[in-house]
Amino acid sequence: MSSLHTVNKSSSSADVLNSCLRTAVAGDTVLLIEDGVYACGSSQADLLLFSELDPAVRLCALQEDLQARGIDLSGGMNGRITGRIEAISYPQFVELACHHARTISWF
Amino acid sequence: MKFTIVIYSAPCSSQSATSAWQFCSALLDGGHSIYRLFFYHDGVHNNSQLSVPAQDEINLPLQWAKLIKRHQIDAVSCVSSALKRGVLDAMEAQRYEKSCHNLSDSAELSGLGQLIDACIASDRVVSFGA
Amino acid sequence: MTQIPTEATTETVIESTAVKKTLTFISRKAPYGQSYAKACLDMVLSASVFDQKVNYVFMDDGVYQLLKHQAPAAIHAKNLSAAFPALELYDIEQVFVDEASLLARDLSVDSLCLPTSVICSMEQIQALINNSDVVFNL
Repeated sequence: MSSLHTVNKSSSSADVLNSCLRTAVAGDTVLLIEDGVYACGSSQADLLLFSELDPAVRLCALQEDLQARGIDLSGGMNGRITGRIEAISYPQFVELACHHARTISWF
Repeated sequence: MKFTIVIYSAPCSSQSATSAWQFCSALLDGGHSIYRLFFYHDGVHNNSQLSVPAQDEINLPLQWAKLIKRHQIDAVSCVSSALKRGVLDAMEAQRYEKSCHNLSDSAELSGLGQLIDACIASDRVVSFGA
Repeated sequence: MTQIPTEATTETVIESTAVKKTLTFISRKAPYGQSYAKACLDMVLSASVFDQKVNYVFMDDGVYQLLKHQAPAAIHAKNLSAAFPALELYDIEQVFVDEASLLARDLSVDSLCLPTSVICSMEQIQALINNSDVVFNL
């Protein structure tokens, strides 16, 4: 039974994203929310983190938070988006919480 | 599905409580239900009637109260978290000889047992913290 | 002496007392600087009082809660680690400690105040999570 993980801190401010990705397993979804979406800006450190992540872990980012912070997944802050991260909205966040057996919040 | 939402953070100190409220709104719009809202730790500040946000900012305690009343949601503020943070109902204010009480009438003070009960009774538990 | 938190003794009607769920609590914050460690402990004790299956996991800075020789009177705080020996009274016979978190902080098993700590790998923690109905992470 898989898990939905939410991460709300930037990887540069806290080690929370790293801890989350260590814990996530194939079939889980990691959803970046709030300041967590800055990981979509694809710093070299974030790119490395995501490149080492099991490809069977789904990566998403909350569209409302991306928009708030001026991050465009199609181009990225500096055009370096991984391409692996899918923008979703709150209704889809709810669907993910239903689909996965449990939601684990990393903050 | 039946959800319990746990809110750990105060309304103005971080985005977390707003995210929780937006999630709750989305899940209710999607036809799901909320078994209980459990405000724990700094989250109890979401149920204070005394906060005065700036005019051009969201009044989250008010929005929570509206959501709770519109959907008849059971909203609990953890009593020990609330007492030490100064969010009191009339009974506790009298008990501790405080000059006023400020708990929103949309929530009640109760213990962690309500959270455990909610975990047992709900299909999903989602937490929001800072 | 551990105080039973008032939350746990509040009269609560649990409509589904026959249901026993598995609740995993991951505690990741150091004690004293923030109050999440105490908040997590209170939740753990309440879950146990209401007869649920509890997994108590220490990870990241949460492993600092288990250090020996804590003496927080100097900062006007209560000793969080003083509560841990009483976990057995709440039927929590073992706690789980993330080995990688210990290693990253150069801590050994000998540094820990709780002899019932089970040092475990991430795979073991993932297995605990996979068998849980609810996971609290604070």
